[in-house]
Amino acid sequence: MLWGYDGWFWASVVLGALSCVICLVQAARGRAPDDFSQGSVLVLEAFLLVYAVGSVFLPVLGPDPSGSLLEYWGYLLTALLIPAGTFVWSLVERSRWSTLILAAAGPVVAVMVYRMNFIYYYQ
Amino acid sequence: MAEPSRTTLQNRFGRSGPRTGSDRKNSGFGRLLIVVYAVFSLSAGVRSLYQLATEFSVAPLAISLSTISAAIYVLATIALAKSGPGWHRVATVAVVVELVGVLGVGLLSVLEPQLFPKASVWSHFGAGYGYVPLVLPIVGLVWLWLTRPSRRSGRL
Repeated sequence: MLWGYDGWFWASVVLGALSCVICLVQAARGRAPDDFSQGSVLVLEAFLLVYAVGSVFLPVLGPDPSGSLLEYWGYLLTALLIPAGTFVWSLVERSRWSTLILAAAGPVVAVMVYRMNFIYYYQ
Repeated sequence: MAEPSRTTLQNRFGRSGPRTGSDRKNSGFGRLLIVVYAVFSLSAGVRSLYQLATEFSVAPLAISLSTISAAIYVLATIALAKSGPGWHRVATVAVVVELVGVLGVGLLSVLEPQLFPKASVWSHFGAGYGYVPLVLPIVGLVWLWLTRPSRRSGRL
């Protein structure tokens, strides 16, 4: 089933897993959010911005969406809020628990991109 | 000993100086509660906006209730995150309304299922969200009670 998903999805899995591991390691070391953990969620945010631009061209260059484009963009806009929100949170809350919250961004982004793929190709 | 962390991003974007605007309600466990409420605000809000835009005519009551519940989650999130006795009262009212809402809508969706052809956040006492919508206001009220402004133990 998973082999029917596109490069965007696999990129989000790799970046999300990397970010999650970095943040978990930093949290286990008792570190407050630093360049590694905060930087990793900013990379996720940058990826989602590129993905959003790609999503504008996807219906033109790729296949037609099989599910609702409105729902797709609902997921995408929500996904864009997640790394940005955890980053802002980490600027205010300076503790290892905040680093743990940063770790949640990666898996959530991967799941959101999975949902968007599903909506676009299979729904 | 661990070497100091690199915090270029923090220094560039973070606020310097001591933290202000925190009290017992929005620190410690309160922070976790705020995150959970924020997650619910986001998911319920996006979902209800989507339903308002696409399928309102199918289930006007359920979708109106979903929209109201999303607004209550947003209000509760803000009130929980702010400090001071005024915001404590606002948070208490919002969480009580949330509890009444989840119990009322939950009961209504069991007794009159034809009113809910599309599920709302509070249908069947929030079963679609793992009953978190039912547990959340109870936990919230306990927390608000423990951190009530009239209780002068600890720092405020």
